[in-house]
Amino acid sequence: MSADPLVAVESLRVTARRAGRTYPIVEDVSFQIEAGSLLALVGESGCGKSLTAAALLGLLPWGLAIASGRIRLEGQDVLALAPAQWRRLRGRQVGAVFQNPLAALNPSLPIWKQVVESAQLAFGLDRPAARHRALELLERVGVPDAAQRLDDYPHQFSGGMRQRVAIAVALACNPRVLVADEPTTALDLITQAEILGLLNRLRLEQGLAVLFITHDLSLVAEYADQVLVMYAGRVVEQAEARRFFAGPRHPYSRALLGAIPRLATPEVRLTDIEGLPPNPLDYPSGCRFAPRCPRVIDRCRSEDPPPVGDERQRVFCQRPWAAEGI
Amino acid sequence: MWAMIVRRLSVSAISLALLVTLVFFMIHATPGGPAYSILGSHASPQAVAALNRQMGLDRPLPEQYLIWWAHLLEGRLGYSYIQHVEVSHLIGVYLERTLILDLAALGLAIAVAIGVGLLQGYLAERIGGRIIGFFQIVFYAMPVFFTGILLIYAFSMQLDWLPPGGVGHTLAGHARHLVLPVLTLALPIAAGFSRYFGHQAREEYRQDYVRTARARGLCEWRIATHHVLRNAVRPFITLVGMMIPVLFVGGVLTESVFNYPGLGWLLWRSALDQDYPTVSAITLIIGVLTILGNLIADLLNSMLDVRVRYE
Ligand SMILES: Nc1ncnc2c1ncn2[C@@H]1O[C@H](COP(=O)(O)OP(=O)(O)O)[C@@H](O)[C@H]1O
Ligand SMILES: [Mg+2]
Repeated sequence: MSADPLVAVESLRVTARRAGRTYPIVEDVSFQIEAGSLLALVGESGCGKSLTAAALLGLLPWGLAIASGRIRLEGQDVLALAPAQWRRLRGRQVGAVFQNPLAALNPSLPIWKQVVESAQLAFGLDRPAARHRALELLERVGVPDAAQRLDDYPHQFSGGMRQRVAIAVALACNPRVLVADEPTTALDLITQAEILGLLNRLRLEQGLAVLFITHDLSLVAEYADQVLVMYAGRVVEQAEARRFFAGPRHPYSRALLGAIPRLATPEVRLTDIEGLPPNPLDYPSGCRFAPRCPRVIDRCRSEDPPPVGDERQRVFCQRPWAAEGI
Repeated sequence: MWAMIVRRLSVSAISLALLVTLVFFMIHATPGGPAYSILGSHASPQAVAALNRQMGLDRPLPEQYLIWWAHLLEGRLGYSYIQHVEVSHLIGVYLERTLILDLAALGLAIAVAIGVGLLQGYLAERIGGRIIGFFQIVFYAMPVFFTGILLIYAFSMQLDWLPPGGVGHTLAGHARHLVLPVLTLALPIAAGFSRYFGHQAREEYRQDYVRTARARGLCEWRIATHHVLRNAVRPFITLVGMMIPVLFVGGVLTESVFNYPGLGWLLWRSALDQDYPTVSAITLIIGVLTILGNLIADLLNSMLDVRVRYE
């Protein structure tokens, strides 16, 4: 890893308060993303992916808070900033694209206004300059006939086109970090591939550091540089993508990878594993995957899983699969 | 859009015609006819006949109906035998006072509702949002009569800051006399409006586009004013249009509590005096204002209604 990652998250812990009790939703998540690099954050729904992203963006929903840890954007410790200062980094240093492109845009504003709104406020563009910038951005994300479509409203675009517009919105102020939270989940397969290709092209052209969240490992196999697998709020495996895809070591990662052939289903189905992820309110002690794990031993239920391996492939497990030699 | 405006205008025109016709029949449906109600039920038949001739009431009904329309188009609303003036002269000055009171209260209520509603939508389940919700219910349920007395007691009798009623003679005097009635009238309306608008705003705050707006670094003020407000305000405008008659009813009570000589006060007096021409003229005016209010709300909405939502 080079010395200066654009994103550095260290031991992030997010907690929720409910009925007077505080309980952890995300625990001890750490990762770094360099310029031009893509980290795939993977796991079943409910494992804390979106909240990790929200914490990074400073957009945790009310009732949730960052209990400890450190988040650096381009070297700056954002948790030390006042809320208004952190807000100013959003859009300019870090952009975000979310899952549902149909609802992500304001239905009653023409798209050009939404695309350049943040840039207008940040750089004080006048109207012609702003329209020009909007056109440039829409062309960059591949909206056809962009010049004719500036004044169109979101409902006049298809889901895939709206996601392109949403990407243009996220990139309006040239952020160097992009958070993409399941940006293709709501789209059909062909559109998924197109959007993924677009994100990949943008990352390479602009040297974006991308945090790509998905529950579908197959989607990112081609593009990811690093893979981080979460289960029930914790990291279970974190590795360089090449190593990971050559041989995931955690039983849960294997199960996720085994789910790949079932690409057409909207949710991940773990092919050879029964049961559902636990609820944050009653996480089991020891390894949280133990109740569903095919390789479980007694120790898994009493002790937290130890880290195994090096920073190129680290797995938290009592009985991981052997590393594939690369 | 133009087709819609033409359609909406014709609906309003038809409503107006129906209203005028209805008020005409209302006048003629009074027991014993208008002459009896003007002269009182003990009037001699000769006096009634004379008055009927003088008022044209002995002519066939269809002819009277046409005359009624002709008079209205000339701006003649009838003659008050109690006050001995043309009703239109009588009403002019009262109408102006009522419009000032009602529009001031309406403007205040809308401004408060939008501000409070946006805040409430933003706060949602947080404690502040719940406190706002509690006070909305309290203020909405508070009768105008009770609020009025309370305000008079506090600001006129105890503090002696503001007059308890009547009207002023200078501009400043007018304003001072308006403060308490406007507050009294606006309070329950603001409570109702803000509850409704707060609900709309809250629904909007849940939408993903708000998160997108936050993710690109917009401040909460801009999100409220440029995004949430725009989407939440449309149903609200319709509500405001529909509430105009209610506003007027509240106005009648407020005017009587504060002895404020407006249309409501006049209506109340005229009803007590059995001054039927005046009562029907006021009814007509309230109806016209209601139709106009709804028309304006609809036209505003159609101007804002650029696009359909997520289909
Ligand atoms: N506002 C909230 N308050 C309390 N718990 C929440 C809230 N939002 C999400 N959670 C819980 O946090 C966990 C992680 O959610 P999330 O990060 O959205 O998962 P995903 O990996 O599917 O994106 C889930 O179990 C969810 O129930
Ligand atoms: Mg999610």
